[in-house]
Amino acid sequence: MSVETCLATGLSVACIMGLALGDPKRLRAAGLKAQPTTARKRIAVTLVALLPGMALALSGDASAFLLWLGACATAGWFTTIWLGNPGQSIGQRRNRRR
Amino acid sequence: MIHLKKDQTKLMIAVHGWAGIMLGLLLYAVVFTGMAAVFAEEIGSWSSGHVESRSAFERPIDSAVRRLAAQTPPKYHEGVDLFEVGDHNLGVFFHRHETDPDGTFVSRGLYYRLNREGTIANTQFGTGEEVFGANNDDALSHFLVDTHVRLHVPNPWGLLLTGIVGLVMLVAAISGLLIHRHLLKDIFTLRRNANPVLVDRDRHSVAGSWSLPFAFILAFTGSFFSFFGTIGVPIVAMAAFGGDIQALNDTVFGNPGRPDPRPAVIGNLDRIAADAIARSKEVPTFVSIENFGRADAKVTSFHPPRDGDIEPVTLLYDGAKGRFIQTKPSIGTQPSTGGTLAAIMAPLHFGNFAGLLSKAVWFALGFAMCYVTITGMRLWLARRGETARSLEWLDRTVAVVAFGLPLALVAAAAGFLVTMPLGSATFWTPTAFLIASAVVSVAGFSLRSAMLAPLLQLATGLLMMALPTVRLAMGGPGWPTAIEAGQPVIAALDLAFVLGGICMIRQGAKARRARTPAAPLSTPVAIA
Repeated sequence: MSVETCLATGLSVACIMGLALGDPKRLRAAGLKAQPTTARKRIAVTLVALLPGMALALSGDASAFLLWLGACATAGWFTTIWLGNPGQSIGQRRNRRR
Repeated sequence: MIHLKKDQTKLMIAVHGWAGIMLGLLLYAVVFTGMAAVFAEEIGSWSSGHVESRSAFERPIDSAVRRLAAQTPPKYHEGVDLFEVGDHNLGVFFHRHETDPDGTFVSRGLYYRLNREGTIANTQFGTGEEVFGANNDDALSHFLVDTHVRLHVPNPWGLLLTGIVGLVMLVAAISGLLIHRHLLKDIFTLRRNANPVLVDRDRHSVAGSWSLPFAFILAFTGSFFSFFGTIGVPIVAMAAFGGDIQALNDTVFGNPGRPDPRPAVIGNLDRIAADAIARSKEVPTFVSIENFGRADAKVTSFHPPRDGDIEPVTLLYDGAKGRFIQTKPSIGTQPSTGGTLAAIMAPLHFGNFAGLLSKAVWFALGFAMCYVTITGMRLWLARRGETARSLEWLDRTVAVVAFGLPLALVAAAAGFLVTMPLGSATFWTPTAFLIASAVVSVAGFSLRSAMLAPLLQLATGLLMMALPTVRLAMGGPGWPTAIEAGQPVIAALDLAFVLGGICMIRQGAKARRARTPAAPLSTPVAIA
């Protein structure tokens, strides 16, 4: 895995985690009072998450693009499970502190 | 996301549900074994204690192949396949193409398995299918791959079955996309305290949404492989080549040119292998020689994709002169979109285009798809809660397959580790799987699924944790030896089995405490 692929995947995964943390429906379903991310901000973060993938695709590095796509999908799923586990949610911890 | 009319949505839900419920368990078996088979090569090294890290094609092979050619009847010089077997040893298959009385197209000839010194360890006469069968030291990885590819059903029916299963997966993925109105809105939502149907629905849709692109890719490429040889090739041969499969192969995959049957000594294979490695930057996975010993001999070497690419590399050499001719497209003689698409099917399906990392990602996505299949079946059952009594058999069957298959596979691995040093692994690997399956099935008759699932998880976890000890006890290489020999994957798999076993035991214990039907699948680790 090249440094570029590593950085691209890291940036996108960070964005996915950010989106998950402030996801309004997730917060509402879990009964958390944390402030959800606004729609405009969500769109912006989503675009930033997609940019590295587009850059890899445009560079013609099919292997890096597929790795990025697969790693993002896996990270997205694991993040959702992690935040959905009672007691593991950062949102819940933040909520409890209040 | 996609808004359908109410009646269309109803129809799609029915298609999605019935597609899953009719073939969901087979789909789970195929995907689960495929997930494990992603690491078939590594599992092969781990289980057999292979510590050689240098490819057979990086060592001298020329004199050994010439010696074998001299002792093989010339009628089997029509084709020679060279490939690696066991601990990076060389397998050589001298053959000719024949059509059996029943119309089956086969390669028949003499197969030599060489040992490290280049002398013959084993000779076998038969068809390609017979000689490429399981050996004592690769019985486990072979068993995994064979279960995934054709569920041990004889050809062509096994391939057709897995092809249909792949199509069902494709139908389920498309209908799932169409019926999920809030795919992006719900992608982070897992309700834990809602009613069981909603809890199951969230688990199913979240895993399904994240793995959706790969469900398409894996289902399509899997069906392609299953139907390619069983339906595609015979139909095209019938339509365009009067049913002559050899003529189709020659035209589509072969190397056209005027036949020149004059005898000619084959070029230096060591020099060809070294040149191929230098050009592709990868060691060949397979080398094929056409018309060995003739002036029109051609050598084709097949390599993994170059760094940054997913299309495997195929190089063509003039066999008699040992001269490089061209980088060959996988289909035809000129590069084409169709040829490229056909070539990338394998890396897309196996996830082996970027080493262990891409394999790990493909493993995780395969795991997500197993999870989607089982949670989907549980959701279907939970939605029919009122009629649950009449569907109790299905609930048990789902538990038996979901948790019994991992146990049976781990039992097969244990059976292999114990019997491989005795030379009887080809018999005991599938037998251990069948014995474990029978025990699980009997337990499924006598226990309710809520009790059965945690028990099977505990048993699987314990057995997984025991595997590294069994491997070492049966004479497998220790971690220092393996790492020193350049095979750290042996230590990595030992660790993975211990950690996986701990997770299974924890999940089993948690589910046992909860003792609710939904509890066993509370996290994805539960079904691994």
